[in-house]
Amino acid sequence: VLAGGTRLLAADAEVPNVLDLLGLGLAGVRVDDEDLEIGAMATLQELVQSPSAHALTASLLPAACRAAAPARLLRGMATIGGEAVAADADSELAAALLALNAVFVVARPGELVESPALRFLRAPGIDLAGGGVLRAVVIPGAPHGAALERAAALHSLPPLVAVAVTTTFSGDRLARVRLAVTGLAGPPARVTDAEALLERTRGEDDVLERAAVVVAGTPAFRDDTLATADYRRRVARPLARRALRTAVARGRQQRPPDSRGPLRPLAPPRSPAPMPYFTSGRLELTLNGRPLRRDAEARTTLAELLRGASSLGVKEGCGAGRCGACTVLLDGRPVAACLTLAVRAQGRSVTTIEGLGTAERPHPLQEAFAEAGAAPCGFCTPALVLSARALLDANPAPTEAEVREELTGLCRCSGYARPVAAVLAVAARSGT
Amino acid sequence: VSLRRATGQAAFAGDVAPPGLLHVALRRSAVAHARVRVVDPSPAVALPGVAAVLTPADAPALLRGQPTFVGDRLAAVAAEDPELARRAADLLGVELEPLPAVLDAEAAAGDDTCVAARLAAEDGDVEGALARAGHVVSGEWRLPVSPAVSLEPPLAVTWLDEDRRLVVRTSAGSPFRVRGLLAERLALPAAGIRVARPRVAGGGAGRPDLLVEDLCAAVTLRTGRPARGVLAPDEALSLAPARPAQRARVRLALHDGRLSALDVDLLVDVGAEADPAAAAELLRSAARHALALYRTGAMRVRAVAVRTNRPPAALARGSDSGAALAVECAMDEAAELAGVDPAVFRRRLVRAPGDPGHELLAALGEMTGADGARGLLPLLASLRSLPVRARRGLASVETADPVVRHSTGLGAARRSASASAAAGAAASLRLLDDGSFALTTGTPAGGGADETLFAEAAAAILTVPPAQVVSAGGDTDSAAFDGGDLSPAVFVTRRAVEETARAALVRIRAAGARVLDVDPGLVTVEGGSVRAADERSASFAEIGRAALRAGEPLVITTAPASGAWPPSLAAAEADVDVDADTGVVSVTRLAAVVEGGPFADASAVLAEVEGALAAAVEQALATSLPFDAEGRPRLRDIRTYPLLAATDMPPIAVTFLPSGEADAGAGGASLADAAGRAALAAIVNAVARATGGRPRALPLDPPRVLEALSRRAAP
Repeated sequence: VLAGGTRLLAADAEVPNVLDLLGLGLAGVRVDDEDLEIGAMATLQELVQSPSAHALTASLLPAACRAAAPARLLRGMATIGGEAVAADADSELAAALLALNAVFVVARPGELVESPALRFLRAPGIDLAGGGVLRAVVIPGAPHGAALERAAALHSLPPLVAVAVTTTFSGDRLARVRLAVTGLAGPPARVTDAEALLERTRGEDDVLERAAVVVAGTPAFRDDTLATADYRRRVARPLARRALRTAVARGRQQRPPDSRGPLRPLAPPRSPAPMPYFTSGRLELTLNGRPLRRDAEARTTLAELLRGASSLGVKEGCGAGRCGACTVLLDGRPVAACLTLAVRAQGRSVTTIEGLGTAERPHPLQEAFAEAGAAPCGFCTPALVLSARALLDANPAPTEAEVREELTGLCRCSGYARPVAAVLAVAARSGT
Repeated sequence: VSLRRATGQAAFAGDVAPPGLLHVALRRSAVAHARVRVVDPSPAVALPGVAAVLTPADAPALLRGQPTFVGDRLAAVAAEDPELARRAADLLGVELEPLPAVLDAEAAAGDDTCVAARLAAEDGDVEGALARAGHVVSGEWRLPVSPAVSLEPPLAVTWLDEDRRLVVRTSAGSPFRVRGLLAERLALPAAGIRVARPRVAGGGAGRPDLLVEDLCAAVTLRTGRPARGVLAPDEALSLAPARPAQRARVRLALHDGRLSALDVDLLVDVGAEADPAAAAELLRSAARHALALYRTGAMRVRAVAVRTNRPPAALARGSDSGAALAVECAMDEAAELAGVDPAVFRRRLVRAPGDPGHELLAALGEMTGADGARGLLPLLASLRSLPVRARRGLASVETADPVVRHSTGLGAARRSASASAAAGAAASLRLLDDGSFALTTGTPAGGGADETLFAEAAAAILTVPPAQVVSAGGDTDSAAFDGGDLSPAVFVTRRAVEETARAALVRIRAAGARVLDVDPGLVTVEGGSVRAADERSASFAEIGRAALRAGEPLVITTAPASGAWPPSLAAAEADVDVDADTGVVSVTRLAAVVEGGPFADASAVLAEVEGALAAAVEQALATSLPFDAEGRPRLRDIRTYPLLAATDMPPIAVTFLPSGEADAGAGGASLADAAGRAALAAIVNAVARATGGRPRALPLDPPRVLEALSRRAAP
């Protein structure tokens, strides 16, 4: 069973055979009365773009997905189920799910079990033991306001401390407050003492401040090479204060928070034809418009398969989805080929840089990259160009911020200015 | 050339897989210092698919049996697939006898057996000037080890060619250096080794020369089969540090608005196995970069490079930046103390050639007659001048949000290569029978700017369009030699290219005159042909064919004496927002002015400078690689290790100001390096101004900045 594959494949796990959960139809976001039901296989990017996820979580869940997976490439691949089961210690997503009172729906042989976030996230293995499969995450009842605050050395790094808050009002009083913190000795946790302090108050500043003091004083913060427990404790207070103030103000106005709003939706995924069960055998896919037949094993990654088929523009970088150098387009969407099993490409269409254009007949993006000096060493260039292609297909007139966010992969030479300019130039040219 | 890169056709070291390839995995030391009692290969040899095991007993030149840092190589296994090799390496029976480890660089500085290099030099009476000074600004800075993070993993592939010669394809920077080291370790004649020059990713991130190259080569020699070795991302992070940890102390004496003394004290931890010559050169260049910017009555440098039981640093570009950073920060503090705009303050004090200390600088390798930094004057003038703040602590601007402090900082840098460093370079041009040229140089194709620049430079001299000069990567067989992968090599190589092109033009003129049967003195060369006075002309293609027919092909190689190259100068300004509650710093704007150009096509050079600015943001705010008390890297997952993403970059602006002098800073890498140093200082100074309490170590991560903010609040 492969879920959380973006983590498992990065960790040299043994994969003797594969059961692809895509066949189980666990994707998608559904609104059921006041509840938001999220299929376990919904990607974080789907949540970022889902109007329902914004509306029914006061935008907390999309914000947490964006923060927890700042790299667009992984956000498009990682699923909420996988991230919840194999979350990083400091995942804002876990904090958000705690603050949203999420309920995890686990299918076990012969029964469906509901496990609240408080229980499930502490040790997902317990609820999944004995053949359990996470089916869905349900957010019961939308909060009125929410906020997420974090402190990190760079935007794209995990937070040293993060605080997620939701508020629900009854009249002008707080009926319910849920507050969760990361940066602890253990996994993210709620601070129920602070919540209790706030409930039934009007959320006045002095009450919020007292609650913030409780947040800083209650849980056991972690001491590690990145920050001391003392730093984390010290910063938890202002972060909690800010998150509470924002969540209270938003909740009072019942106003959706400022967000960059959902991106224009991508083309819906083509209904995949997953191989239900795979040990080894011959895969048939379309590579750059031509049929490709190749033998693969369960453990074979798409990167290995493609490089074996002479697509050397698919670079071998970090093998963990971080660098993005192995980006290819799978049915038009960027994926990290190092974290995608070859079997996933069965019956589907793969585009690599070789399929975009050649030096003799380059794609306009390739020309623009060359002209702008945006390919200093060329190692990351195939990935940047391919993701730019996917972006422009979905969004022909992106803003600079959108380009920065959607270019998958790191570049160690250019400082990104020239690649971003090249993509904007192509967008401007094709717009006129 | 760059279209090839944009279409994914650029070939890197790992893009070949010769048939019969074996995969090499290493067994590494878990302790910082030990003696190997025994490595028992039998559990690995017993596995089907294991082709060779190398141990200290049978390959003592490669595996010395005395690991000197955590992660040092103990043994290697070659097998049919990478996973098998890794499993087999784990199965080797290894017994170590731990030895005492040196992990405290400060303590090591007092122990001569640990000192790799020392430098002490003084001009004038520094102590006297410090004693008499109106004010003394002093500061101490610590820079952490920085790993070389290239997207391309450190990697080597080796095989025997049809003549049974060893071929090595590596992602290391300098093919010739790798060949020399391999010849020594494998006891082979250098002529028996060909080191290919694939593209190298990362634009000069720097990595040690031999990480797996020698072991792969040994496997190939032993088995006759191709071998491939690659470092996993976590290994690359911890075992291939580019820049060493260092501590710089600076004292700056101010007297009557002048600097009466500058005192620099530097300690560099170069890690295990440091090459003493490289360490000594590192100290000299660190001293040059710290001392050659500003006029000062007296100057002194005391520097020591120590060997410890930590991974050896590659001493890549920027390794020597600690002392200069400390000086830039002290200059900023001094300007605040004097109540003078920091740009104005620096401009008043810029060194002119021949100022006091020039003999000392010459002894440190500075070029005589060019030991000043007057080129900084227009650079500093062109940066927006800063608001003058009379008193320290008032330098940051309060914003509408009382928690966020906005501030601006300035930094300057001067980068020079040692005049004595024998970084030679060669270039070779061949006129082909279609009138185009093949250009071969030995400089590594890391940055990309350079190849384009070389072809352009040659084409301009040869009067042909740039596309008619094909820049062919030279390996150790075809190139004469390379100048290593340091920035001056680029400059020297460009000089070699130009000299070669001029020599080629002379030969072409003569050959053309022969074709036209006129006196060589009477022909002109333009637009790719040689013209006689009577309007008859011979195209380069005709001349090339004629030369071949005559058995006198036009092949020109020159290797100009290394000579001197001018310093690169840059100034930078950074705007930052500092969150006073959390210590989080956002760089909101970064501008750099660099002496250089004009360039026919600046885009490639600009990209390099912009890349250096990005690296400066990363280094200033996030880069670190901590070790624990036993010398083990406290590893971070590659998934969360700080690497700057597109969304982390502030808006940047880069301006080139041509200097009057020809050639100034012709190498993109050297310009980029200067810009990066200036930007780092600018960010650090901006944060210092915002916090009031000056942070004294990099990176300026939230905990450190918050601590600096508290220090300001405390008194």
